[in-house]
Amino acid sequence: MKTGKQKQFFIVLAVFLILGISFKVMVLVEGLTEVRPVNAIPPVAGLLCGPVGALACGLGNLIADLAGTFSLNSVLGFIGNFMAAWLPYRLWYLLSEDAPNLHSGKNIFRYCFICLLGAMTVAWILSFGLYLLQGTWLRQIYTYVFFNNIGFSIGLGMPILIVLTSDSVGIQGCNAPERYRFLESGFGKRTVLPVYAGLMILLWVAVEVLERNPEGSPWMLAVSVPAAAGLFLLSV
Amino acid sequence: MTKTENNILLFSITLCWAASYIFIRNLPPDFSSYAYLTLTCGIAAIILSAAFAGKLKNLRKKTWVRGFWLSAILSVNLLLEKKGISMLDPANASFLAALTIIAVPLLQWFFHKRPTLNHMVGAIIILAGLCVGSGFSVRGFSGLGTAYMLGGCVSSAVYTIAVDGYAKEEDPLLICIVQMIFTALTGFVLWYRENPDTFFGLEYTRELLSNIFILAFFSKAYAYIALMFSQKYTDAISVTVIASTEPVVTLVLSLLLPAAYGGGQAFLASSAAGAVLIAFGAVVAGLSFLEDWGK
Repeated sequence: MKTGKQKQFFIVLAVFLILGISFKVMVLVEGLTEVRPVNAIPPVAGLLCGPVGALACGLGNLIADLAGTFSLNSVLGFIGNFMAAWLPYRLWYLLSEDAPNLHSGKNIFRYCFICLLGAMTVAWILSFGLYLLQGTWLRQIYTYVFFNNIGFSIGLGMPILIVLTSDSVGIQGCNAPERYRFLESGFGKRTVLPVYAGLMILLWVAVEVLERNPEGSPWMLAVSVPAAAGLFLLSV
Repeated sequence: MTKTENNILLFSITLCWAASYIFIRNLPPDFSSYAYLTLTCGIAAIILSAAFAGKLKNLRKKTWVRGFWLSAILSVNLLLEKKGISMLDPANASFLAALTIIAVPLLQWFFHKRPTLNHMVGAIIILAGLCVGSGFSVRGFSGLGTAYMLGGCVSSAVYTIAVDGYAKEEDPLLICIVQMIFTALTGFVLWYRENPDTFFGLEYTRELLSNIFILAFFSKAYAYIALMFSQKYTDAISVTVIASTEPVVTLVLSLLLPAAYGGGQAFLASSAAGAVLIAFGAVVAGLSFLEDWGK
Protein backbone atom coordinates (compact mmCIF):
# COMPACT_ATOMS: atom_id res chain seq x y z
CA MET A 1 0.00 0.00 0.00
CA LYS A 2 1.43 3.36 -1.04
CA THR A 3 0.02 6.54 0.44
CA GLY A 4 0.52 10.04 -0.98
CA LYS A 5 3.12 12.28 0.68
CA GLN A 6 0.49 14.82 1.76
CA LYS A 7 -1.68 12.15 3.36
CA GLN A 8 1.37 10.65 5.08
CA PHE A 9 2.24 14.07 6.48
CA PHE A 10 -1.22 14.71 7.88
CA ILE A 11 -1.65 11.21 9.35
CA VAL A 12 1.70 11.44 11.18
CA LEU A 13 0.93 15.00 12.28
CA ALA A 14 -2.53 14.01 13.59
CA VAL A 15 -1.22 11.00 15.52
CA PHE A 16 1.63 13.07 16.93
CA LEU A 17 -0.76 15.79 18.06
CA ILE A 18 -3.29 13.40 19.64
CA LEU A 19 -0.61 11.56 21.59
CA GLY A 20 1.57 14.59 22.27
CA ILE A 21 -1.22 16.73 23.70
CA SER A 22 -2.89 13.85 25.60
CA PHE A 23 0.24 13.13 27.59
CA LYS A 24 0.92 16.76 28.52
CA VAL A 25 -0.74 15.91 31.85
CA MET A 26 1.99 13.41 32.83
CA VAL A 27 4.68 16.00 33.50
CA LEU A 28 8.17 14.85 34.51
CA VAL A 29 10.03 18.19 34.44
CA GLU A 30 7.68 21.19 34.59
CA GLY A 31 7.56 23.07 31.28
CA LEU A 32 10.13 20.80 29.64
CA THR A 33 9.14 17.15 29.37
CA GLU A 34 6.54 14.55 30.25
CA VAL A 35 5.92 10.80 29.87
CA ARG A 36 5.95 10.60 26.06
CA PRO A 37 4.58 7.49 24.34
CA VAL A 38 4.49 9.76 21.28
CA ASN A 39 8.23 9.05 21.02
CA ALA A 40 7.25 5.72 19.49
CA ILE A 41 6.15 7.58 16.36
CA PRO A 42 9.33 9.28 15.00
CA PRO A 43 11.39 6.15 14.15
CA VAL A 44 8.34 4.53 12.51
CA ALA A 45 7.42 7.74 10.67
CA GLY A 46 11.02 8.19 9.54
CA LEU A 47 11.34 4.63 8.27
CA LEU A 48 7.97 4.56 6.50
CA CYS A 49 7.54 8.16 5.35
CA GLY A 50 11.12 9.50 5.21
CA PRO A 51 11.60 13.30 5.17
CA VAL A 52 7.82 13.94 5.20
CA GLY A 53 7.45 11.88 8.38
CA ALA A 54 10.38 13.67 10.03
CA LEU A 55 8.91 17.07 9.20
CA ALA A 56 5.49 16.03 10.56
CA CYS A 57 7.11 14.88 13.83
CA GLY A 58 9.04 18.13 14.26
CA LEU A 59 6.02 20.31 13.48
CA GLY A 60 3.71 18.07 15.51
CA ASN A 61 5.91 18.55 18.55
CA LEU A 62 6.00 22.30 18.01
CA ILE A 63 2.20 22.53 17.74
CA ALA A 64 1.70 20.18 20.74
CA ASP A 65 3.92 22.51 22.77
CA LEU A 66 1.32 25.24 22.22
CA ALA A 67 -0.91 23.22 24.58
CA GLY A 68 1.15 24.27 27.59
CA THR A 69 4.94 24.12 27.24
CA PHE A 70 5.68 26.50 24.34
CA SER A 71 8.84 28.57 24.79
CA LEU A 72 12.15 29.24 23.06
CA ASN A 73 13.11 25.69 24.02
CA SER A 74 10.42 24.42 21.65
CA VAL A 75 12.88 25.08 18.81
CA LEU A 76 15.12 22.43 20.37
CA GLY A 77 12.08 20.16 20.62
CA PHE A 78 11.44 20.66 16.91
CA ILE A 79 15.04 19.76 16.04
CA GLY A 80 15.10 16.81 18.45
CA ASN A 81 11.87 15.27 17.15
CA PHE A 82 12.82 15.91 13.54
CA MET A 83 16.14 14.12 14.11
CA ALA A 84 14.40 11.28 15.98
CA ALA A 85 12.69 10.42 12.68
CA TRP A 86 15.32 11.64 10.21
CA LEU A 87 18.24 9.72 11.71
CA PRO A 88 16.53 6.27 11.64
CA TYR A 89 15.60 6.91 7.99
CA ARG A 90 19.20 7.75 7.09
CA LEU A 91 20.78 5.03 9.21
CA TRP A 92 18.51 2.19 8.05
CA TYR A 93 19.59 2.56 4.45
CA LEU A 94 23.18 3.06 5.46
CA LEU A 95 23.08 -0.34 7.16
CA SER A 96 20.75 -2.22 4.83
CA GLU A 97 19.50 -2.33 1.27
CA ASP A 98 16.12 -3.81 2.29
CA ALA A 99 13.05 -1.63 2.74
CA PRO A 100 12.42 -1.15 6.49
CA ASN A 101 10.80 -4.25 8.03
CA LEU A 102 11.28 -6.47 11.08
CA HIS A 103 10.82 -9.83 9.39
CA SER A 104 14.24 -11.13 10.47
CA GLY A 105 16.25 -11.18 13.70
CA LYS A 106 18.95 -9.13 11.96
CA ASN A 107 16.45 -6.40 11.09
CA ILE A 108 15.06 -6.37 14.65
CA PHE A 109 18.59 -5.93 15.97
CA ARG A 110 19.22 -3.18 13.39
CA TYR A 111 16.03 -1.39 14.42
CA CYS A 112 16.99 -1.58 18.13
CA PHE A 113 20.49 -0.22 17.38
CA ILE A 114 19.04 2.66 15.35
CA CYS A 115 16.57 3.47 18.14
CA LEU A 116 19.35 3.37 20.73
CA LEU A 117 21.52 5.75 18.73
CA GLY A 118 18.49 7.94 17.99
CA ALA A 119 17.58 8.13 21.70
CA MET A 120 21.14 9.10 22.64
CA THR A 121 21.19 11.73 19.90
CA VAL A 122 17.89 13.34 20.92
CA ALA A 123 18.85 13.34 24.63
CA TRP A 124 22.17 14.97 23.70
CA ILE A 125 20.57 17.60 21.44
CA LEU A 126 17.98 18.61 24.03
CA SER A 127 20.07 18.55 27.22
CA PHE A 128 23.23 20.08 25.74
CA GLY A 129 21.12 22.49 23.68
CA LEU A 130 19.34 23.67 26.82
CA TYR A 131 22.71 24.05 28.56
CA LEU A 132 24.03 26.21 25.73
CA LEU A 133 20.84 28.28 25.52
CA GLN A 134 20.20 28.81 29.23
CA GLY A 135 23.50 27.98 30.91
CA THR A 136 21.91 25.48 33.29
CA TRP A 137 22.56 21.76 33.20
CA LEU A 138 19.57 19.50 33.93
CA ARG A 139 20.65 15.89 34.11
CA GLN A 140 17.01 14.74 34.40
CA ILE A 141 16.34 16.10 30.93
CA TYR A 142 19.01 13.85 29.42
CA THR A 143 17.78 10.86 31.44
CA TYR A 144 14.05 11.31 30.79
CA VAL A 145 14.49 12.11 27.11
CA PHE A 146 16.77 9.11 26.62
CA PHE A 147 14.49 6.64 28.42
CA ASN A 148 11.33 8.09 26.87
CA ASN A 149 12.86 7.63 23.43
CA ILE A 150 14.43 4.22 23.83
CA GLY A 151 11.54 2.77 25.86
CA PHE A 152 8.69 3.87 23.64
CA SER A 153 10.44 3.52 20.29
CA ILE A 154 11.24 -0.12 21.06
CA GLY A 155 8.31 -1.04 23.34
CA LEU A 156 5.65 0.58 21.18
CA GLY A 157 7.29 1.70 17.94
CA MET A 158 8.52 -1.79 17.08
CA PRO A 159 5.06 -3.46 17.26
CA ILE A 160 3.52 -0.54 15.34
CA LEU A 161 6.11 -1.04 12.59
CA ILE A 162 5.35 -4.78 12.60
CA VAL A 163 1.62 -4.15 12.10
CA LEU A 164 2.13 -1.51 9.42
CA THR A 165 4.59 -3.60 7.40
CA SER A 166 2.58 -6.84 7.76
CA ASP A 167 0.96 -8.51 4.73
CA SER A 168 -2.51 -7.29 5.72
CA VAL A 169 -1.68 -3.57 5.93
CA GLY A 170 1.25 -3.78 3.56
CA ILE A 171 2.64 -0.26 3.93
CA GLN A 172 5.94 -0.11 2.10
CA GLY A 173 8.88 1.65 3.68
CA CYS A 174 10.13 4.93 2.27
CA ASN A 175 12.57 4.67 -0.61
CA ALA A 176 16.27 4.99 0.18
CA PRO A 177 17.69 8.54 0.38
CA GLU A 178 18.85 9.74 -3.01
CA ARG A 179 22.36 10.16 -1.76
CA TYR A 180 24.69 10.22 1.21
CA ARG A 181 26.68 13.28 0.24
CA PHE A 182 29.70 12.53 2.40
CA LEU A 183 29.38 8.79 2.80
CA GLU A 184 29.60 7.62 -0.79
CA SER A 185 32.96 5.95 -0.24
CA GLY A 186 33.30 2.73 1.73
CA PHE A 187 35.73 4.49 4.06
CA GLY A 188 33.16 7.13 4.95
CA LYS A 189 30.52 4.50 5.69
CA ARG A 190 32.93 2.43 7.77
CA THR A 191 34.25 5.28 9.89
CA VAL A 192 31.65 7.99 10.42
CA LEU A 193 28.90 5.82 11.93
CA PRO A 194 31.14 3.91 14.41
CA VAL A 195 32.89 7.15 15.47
CA TYR A 196 29.57 8.94 15.95
CA ALA A 197 28.11 5.98 17.88
CA GLY A 198 31.28 5.86 20.03
CA LEU A 199 30.98 9.57 20.89
CA MET A 200 27.31 9.18 21.78
CA ILE A 201 28.09 6.20 24.03
CA LEU A 202 30.93 8.15 25.67
CA LEU A 203 28.57 11.03 26.48
CA TRP A 204 25.88 8.62 27.71
CA VAL A 205 28.35 6.95 30.09
CA ALA A 206 29.59 10.35 31.27
CA VAL A 207 26.07 11.58 32.07
CA GLU A 208 24.31 8.42 33.26
CA VAL A 209 27.09 6.35 34.85
CA LEU A 210 29.76 8.84 35.94
CA GLU A 211 27.19 11.60 36.64
CA ARG A 212 29.38 14.23 35.00
CA ASN A 213 28.10 17.51 33.61
CA PRO A 214 29.46 20.02 31.07
CA GLU A 215 30.11 22.59 33.83
CA GLY A 216 32.53 20.38 35.74
CA SER A 217 33.76 18.45 32.71
CA PRO A 218 34.18 20.83 29.76
CA TRP A 219 35.59 17.95 27.68
CA MET A 220 31.94 16.88 27.21
CA LEU A 221 31.37 20.04 25.19
CA ALA A 222 34.60 19.42 23.28
CA VAL A 223 33.39 15.88 22.45
CA SER A 224 30.12 17.37 21.29
CA VAL A 225 31.84 19.25 18.47
CA PRO A 226 32.99 16.17 16.49
CA ALA A 227 29.68 14.52 17.44
CA ALA A 228 27.79 17.40 15.80
CA ALA A 229 30.03 17.06 12.73
CA GLY A 230 29.30 13.32 12.64
CA LEU A 231 25.56 13.95 12.88
CA PHE A 232 25.82 16.43 10.00
CA LEU A 233 27.72 13.92 7.84
CA LEU A 234 25.14 11.22 8.55
CA SER A 235 22.23 13.57 7.92
CA VAL A 236 23.02 15.05 4.51
CA MET B 1 4.43 -12.15 9.93
CA THR B 2 7.16 -14.21 11.61
CA LYS B 3 6.76 -15.92 15.01
CA THR B 4 9.13 -13.40 16.62
CA GLU B 5 7.16 -10.47 15.18
CA ASN B 6 3.99 -12.08 16.47
CA ASN B 7 5.37 -12.55 19.99
CA ILE B 8 6.57 -8.93 20.05
CA LEU B 9 3.09 -7.83 19.05
CA LEU B 10 1.39 -9.96 21.70
CA PHE B 11 3.76 -8.75 24.37
CA SER B 12 3.09 -5.13 23.43
CA ILE B 13 -0.66 -5.73 23.95
CA THR B 14 0.07 -7.07 27.41
CA LEU B 15 2.18 -3.97 28.04
CA CYS B 16 -0.68 -1.69 26.94
CA TRP B 17 -3.27 -3.45 29.07
CA ALA B 18 -0.98 -3.55 32.09
CA ALA B 19 -0.24 0.17 31.73
CA SER B 20 -3.89 1.11 31.22
CA TYR B 21 -4.60 0.72 34.96
CA ILE B 22 -2.54 3.90 35.54
CA PHE B 23 -4.93 5.92 33.37
CA ILE B 24 -8.10 4.20 34.58
CA ARG B 25 -7.00 5.12 38.11
CA ASN B 26 -6.81 8.77 37.03
CA LEU B 27 -10.47 8.85 35.96
CA PRO B 28 -12.93 10.46 38.42
CA PRO B 29 -14.20 7.91 41.01
CA ASP B 30 -17.84 8.37 39.93
CA PHE B 31 -17.06 7.97 36.23
CA SER B 32 -19.46 5.39 34.80
CA SER B 33 -17.86 2.29 33.30
CA TYR B 34 -20.42 2.47 30.49
CA ALA B 35 -19.31 6.02 29.73
CA TYR B 36 -15.75 4.69 29.70
CA LEU B 37 -16.72 1.96 27.23
CA THR B 38 -18.66 4.34 24.97
CA LEU B 39 -16.01 7.03 24.86
CA THR B 40 -12.90 4.86 24.53
CA CYS B 41 -14.38 2.49 21.93
CA GLY B 42 -16.12 5.35 20.10
CA ILE B 43 -12.91 7.38 19.81
CA ALA B 44 -10.98 4.25 18.81
CA ALA B 45 -13.55 3.51 16.08
CA ILE B 46 -13.28 7.09 14.75
CA ILE B 47 -9.45 7.06 14.77
CA LEU B 48 -9.26 3.69 13.03
CA SER B 49 -11.94 4.57 10.46
CA ALA B 50 -10.14 7.81 9.63
CA ALA B 51 -6.70 6.22 9.41
CA PHE B 52 -7.86 3.30 7.26
CA ALA B 53 -10.76 4.99 5.44
CA GLY B 54 -9.67 3.47 2.14
CA LYS B 55 -10.25 -0.04 3.46
CA LEU B 56 -13.83 0.58 4.62
CA LYS B 57 -15.20 -0.02 1.12
CA ASN B 58 -14.21 -3.69 1.54
CA LEU B 59 -16.62 -4.19 4.45
CA ARG B 60 -18.94 -7.13 3.84
CA LYS B 61 -22.12 -8.19 5.65
CA LYS B 62 -20.27 -11.18 7.13
CA THR B 63 -17.69 -8.88 8.72
CA TRP B 64 -20.46 -6.78 10.30
CA VAL B 65 -22.10 -9.90 11.74
CA ARG B 66 -18.84 -11.30 13.09
CA GLY B 67 -17.82 -7.92 14.52
CA PHE B 68 -21.21 -7.71 16.21
CA TRP B 69 -20.77 -11.11 17.88
CA LEU B 70 -17.29 -10.24 19.08
CA SER B 71 -18.56 -7.01 20.60
CA ALA B 72 -21.47 -8.88 22.23
CA ILE B 73 -19.13 -11.42 23.86
CA LEU B 74 -16.81 -8.64 24.97
CA SER B 75 -19.69 -6.67 26.48
CA VAL B 76 -20.96 -9.75 28.37
CA ASN B 77 -17.43 -10.29 29.68
CA LEU B 78 -17.20 -6.69 30.83
CA LEU B 79 -20.58 -6.73 32.57
CA LEU B 80 -19.90 -10.01 34.37
CA GLU B 81 -16.45 -8.86 35.51
CA LYS B 82 -17.87 -5.53 36.65
CA LYS B 83 -20.45 -7.35 38.81
CA GLY B 84 -17.87 -9.81 40.12
CA ILE B 85 -15.27 -7.15 40.98
CA SER B 86 -17.86 -5.17 42.96
CA MET B 87 -18.56 -8.24 45.14
CA LEU B 88 -15.04 -9.60 45.68
CA ASP B 89 -11.74 -8.63 47.19
CA PRO B 90 -9.48 -7.22 44.37
CA ALA B 91 -6.85 -9.98 44.81
CA ASN B 92 -9.48 -12.72 44.50
CA ALA B 93 -11.15 -11.00 41.54
CA SER B 94 -7.83 -10.61 39.73
CA PHE B 95 -6.97 -14.29 40.37
CA LEU B 96 -10.32 -15.46 39.00
CA ALA B 97 -10.02 -13.20 35.94
CA ALA B 98 -6.62 -14.74 35.20
CA LEU B 99 -8.10 -18.25 35.07
CA THR B 100 -8.58 -17.71 31.32
CA ILE B 101 -5.21 -19.43 31.02
CA ILE B 102 -7.01 -22.66 32.01
CA ALA B 103 -10.39 -21.87 30.41
CA VAL B 104 -9.00 -21.46 26.86
CA PRO B 105 -7.28 -24.89 26.65
CA LEU B 106 -10.28 -26.53 28.35
CA LEU B 107 -12.73 -25.01 25.88
CA GLN B 108 -10.49 -25.96 22.98
CA TRP B 109 -10.32 -29.51 24.33
CA PHE B 110 -14.09 -29.50 24.31
CA PHE B 111 -13.90 -28.70 20.59
CA HIS B 112 -11.45 -31.60 20.08
CA LYS B 113 -8.40 -29.37 19.79
CA ARG B 114 -5.97 -30.93 22.25
CA PRO B 115 -3.40 -28.58 23.80
CA THR B 116 0.25 -29.73 23.78
CA LEU B 117 1.96 -31.09 26.89
CA ASN B 118 4.06 -27.91 27.06
CA HIS B 119 0.92 -25.80 26.99
CA MET B 120 -0.63 -27.76 29.85
CA VAL B 121 2.49 -27.80 32.06
CA GLY B 122 3.12 -24.11 31.31
CA ALA B 123 -0.48 -23.23 32.22
CA ILE B 124 -0.18 -25.08 35.54
CA ILE B 125 3.07 -23.24 36.38
CA ILE B 126 1.45 -19.89 35.43
CA LEU B 127 -1.52 -20.75 37.64
CA ALA B 128 0.87 -21.51 40.52
CA GLY B 129 2.51 -18.13 39.89
CA LEU B 130 -0.87 -16.42 40.05
CA CYS B 131 -1.65 -18.21 43.34
CA VAL B 132 1.66 -17.04 44.85
CA GLY B 133 1.59 -13.52 43.44
CA SER B 134 -2.01 -12.40 43.80
CA GLY B 135 -2.25 -12.98 47.58
CA PHE B 136 -5.91 -14.01 47.50
CA SER B 137 -7.79 -15.43 50.49
CA VAL B 138 -9.42 -18.87 50.08
CA ARG B 139 -12.42 -17.80 52.19
CA GLY B 140 -13.07 -14.87 49.85
CA PHE B 141 -14.22 -17.15 47.01
CA SER B 142 -17.64 -18.04 48.33
CA GLY B 143 -20.74 -16.36 46.92
CA LEU B 144 -22.20 -14.98 43.74
CA GLY B 145 -19.16 -12.79 42.98
CA THR B 146 -17.09 -15.88 42.14
CA ALA B 147 -19.80 -17.13 39.79
CA TYR B 148 -19.82 -13.78 37.97
CA MET B 149 -16.05 -13.76 37.67
CA LEU B 150 -15.98 -17.35 36.39
CA GLY B 151 -18.65 -16.38 33.86
CA GLY B 152 -16.45 -13.44 32.83
CA CYS B 153 -13.48 -15.78 32.53
CA VAL B 154 -15.39 -18.21 30.28
CA SER B 155 -16.68 -15.37 28.09
CA SER B 156 -13.11 -14.06 27.80
CA ALA B 157 -11.98 -17.53 26.67
CA VAL B 158 -14.86 -17.71 24.17
CA TYR B 159 -13.82 -14.28 22.84
CA THR B 160 -10.20 -15.41 22.38
CA ILE B 161 -11.28 -18.55 20.54
CA ALA B 162 -13.81 -16.65 18.40
CA VAL B 163 -11.20 -14.04 17.42
CA ASP B 164 -8.85 -16.92 16.60
CA GLY B 165 -11.33 -18.20 14.05
CA TYR B 166 -12.53 -14.88 12.63
CA ALA B 167 -9.13 -13.18 12.38
CA LYS B 168 -7.86 -15.90 10.07
CA GLU B 169 -10.71 -15.36 7.62
CA GLU B 170 -11.29 -11.60 7.87
CA ASP B 171 -9.26 -8.45 7.43
CA PRO B 172 -8.05 -7.77 11.01
CA LEU B 173 -8.44 -4.01 10.55
CA LEU B 174 -12.03 -4.19 9.38
CA ILE B 175 -13.28 -6.64 11.98
CA CYS B 176 -11.60 -4.58 14.69
CA ILE B 177 -13.28 -1.37 13.48
CA VAL B 178 -16.70 -3.07 13.38
CA GLN B 179 -16.17 -4.52 16.85
CA MET B 180 -15.27 -1.07 18.20
CA ILE B 181 -18.39 0.49 16.63
CA PHE B 182 -20.74 -2.10 18.15
CA THR B 183 -19.03 -2.04 21.55
CA ALA B 184 -19.36 1.76 21.64
CA LEU B 185 -23.05 1.47 20.73
CA THR B 186 -23.66 -1.19 23.40
CA GLY B 187 -21.85 0.98 25.92
CA PHE B 188 -23.94 3.98 24.92
CA VAL B 189 -27.26 2.09 25.35
CA LEU B 190 -26.19 0.93 28.83
CA TRP B 191 -24.93 4.41 29.68
CA TYR B 192 -28.23 5.96 28.56
CA ARG B 193 -30.15 3.53 30.79
CA GLU B 194 -27.93 4.44 33.72
CA ASN B 195 -27.95 8.19 33.12
CA PRO B 196 -30.01 9.70 30.25
CA ASP B 197 -27.81 12.82 30.27
CA THR B 198 -24.91 10.70 28.89
CA PHE B 199 -22.39 13.06 27.21
CA PHE B 200 -24.03 16.15 28.71
CA GLY B 201 -23.73 14.83 32.25
CA LEU B 202 -19.92 14.78 32.20
CA GLU B 203 -17.59 17.50 33.37
CA TYR B 204 -14.92 17.65 30.69
CA THR B 205 -11.59 18.55 32.27
CA ARG B 206 -8.29 18.47 30.43
CA GLU B 207 -7.15 15.55 32.58
CA LEU B 208 -10.29 13.52 31.84
CA LEU B 209 -9.98 14.10 28.10
CA SER B 210 -6.28 13.21 28.16
CA ASN B 211 -6.88 9.95 29.98
CA ILE B 212 -9.79 9.01 27.73
CA PHE B 213 -7.75 9.69 24.59
CA ILE B 214 -4.81 7.71 25.91
CA LEU B 215 -7.00 4.74 26.84
CA ALA B 216 -8.86 4.92 23.51
CA PHE B 217 -5.62 4.97 21.57
CA PHE B 218 -3.66 2.32 23.46
CA SER B 219 -5.98 -0.03 25.30
CA LYS B 220 -8.61 -0.07 22.53
CA ALA B 221 -7.47 1.05 19.05
CA TYR B 222 -3.90 -0.23 19.20
CA ALA B 223 -4.37 -3.24 21.49
CA TYR B 224 -7.33 -4.73 19.59
CA ILE B 225 -5.79 -4.14 16.17
CA ALA B 226 -2.60 -5.82 17.38
CA LEU B 227 -4.64 -8.67 18.91
CA MET B 228 -6.53 -9.31 15.67
CA PHE B 229 -3.30 -9.23 13.69
CA SER B 230 -1.42 -11.56 15.96
CA GLN B 231 -4.31 -14.01 16.14
CA LYS B 232 -4.31 -14.16 12.37
CA TYR B 233 -0.88 -15.75 12.58
CA THR B 234 -0.97 -17.71 15.84
CA ASP B 235 -3.25 -19.86 18.01
CA ALA B 236 -5.53 -18.95 20.90
CA ILE B 237 -3.39 -20.64 23.57
CA SER B 238 -0.23 -18.72 22.64
CA VAL B 239 -2.22 -15.50 22.91
CA THR B 240 -3.54 -16.46 26.35
CA VAL B 241 -0.10 -17.52 27.55
CA ILE B 242 1.51 -14.19 26.64
CA ALA B 243 -1.50 -12.27 28.02
CA SER B 244 -1.08 -14.14 31.31
CA THR B 245 2.30 -12.43 31.82
CA GLU B 246 0.40 -9.21 32.61
CA PRO B 247 1.21 -9.43 36.38
CA VAL B 248 4.92 -9.55 35.47
CA VAL B 249 4.63 -6.45 33.29
CA THR B 250 2.56 -4.68 35.95
CA LEU B 251 5.24 -5.44 38.55
CA VAL B 252 7.99 -4.07 36.29
CA LEU B 253 5.94 -0.96 35.49
CA SER B 254 5.26 -0.28 39.17
CA LEU B 255 9.03 -0.41 39.77
CA LEU B 256 9.90 1.85 36.84
CA LEU B 257 7.18 4.52 36.95
CA PRO B 258 7.26 7.53 39.26
CA ALA B 259 4.91 7.24 42.28
CA ALA B 260 2.68 10.04 40.96
CA TYR B 261 1.82 7.92 37.94
CA GLY B 262 0.97 4.68 39.71
CA GLY B 263 4.51 3.41 40.26
CA GLY B 264 6.75 3.29 43.30
CA GLN B 265 4.64 0.62 45.00
CA ALA B 266 6.04 -1.63 47.75
CA PHE B 267 8.02 -4.51 46.31
CA LEU B 268 6.70 -7.74 47.86
CA ALA B 269 8.68 -10.98 47.79
CA SER B 270 5.47 -12.91 47.01
CA SER B 271 4.78 -10.69 43.95
CA ALA B 272 8.35 -11.22 42.71
CA ALA B 273 8.13 -15.01 43.24
CA GLY B 274 4.76 -15.09 41.47
CA ALA B 275 6.15 -13.06 38.56
CA VAL B 276 9.14 -15.42 38.18
CA LEU B 277 6.83 -18.46 38.13
CA ILE B 278 4.51 -16.83 35.56
CA ALA B 279 7.45 -15.89 33.31
CA PHE B 280 8.86 -19.43 33.62
CA GLY B 281 5.44 -20.92 32.85
CA ALA B 282 5.11 -18.71 29.76
CA VAL B 283 8.51 -19.89 28.51
CA VAL B 284 7.60 -23.56 29.09
CA ALA B 285 4.26 -23.08 27.29
CA GLY B 286 5.96 -21.35 24.37
CA LEU B 287 8.42 -24.20 23.70
CA SER B 288 7.88 -27.80 22.63
CA PHE B 289 10.58 -29.74 24.49
CA LEU B 290 8.11 -31.95 26.41
CA GLU B 291 6.50 -33.11 23.16
CA ASP B 292 9.91 -33.90 21.66
CA TRP B 293 10.98 -35.65 24.87
CA GLY B 294 7.91 -37.90 24.85
CA LYS B 295 8.65 -39.14 21.33
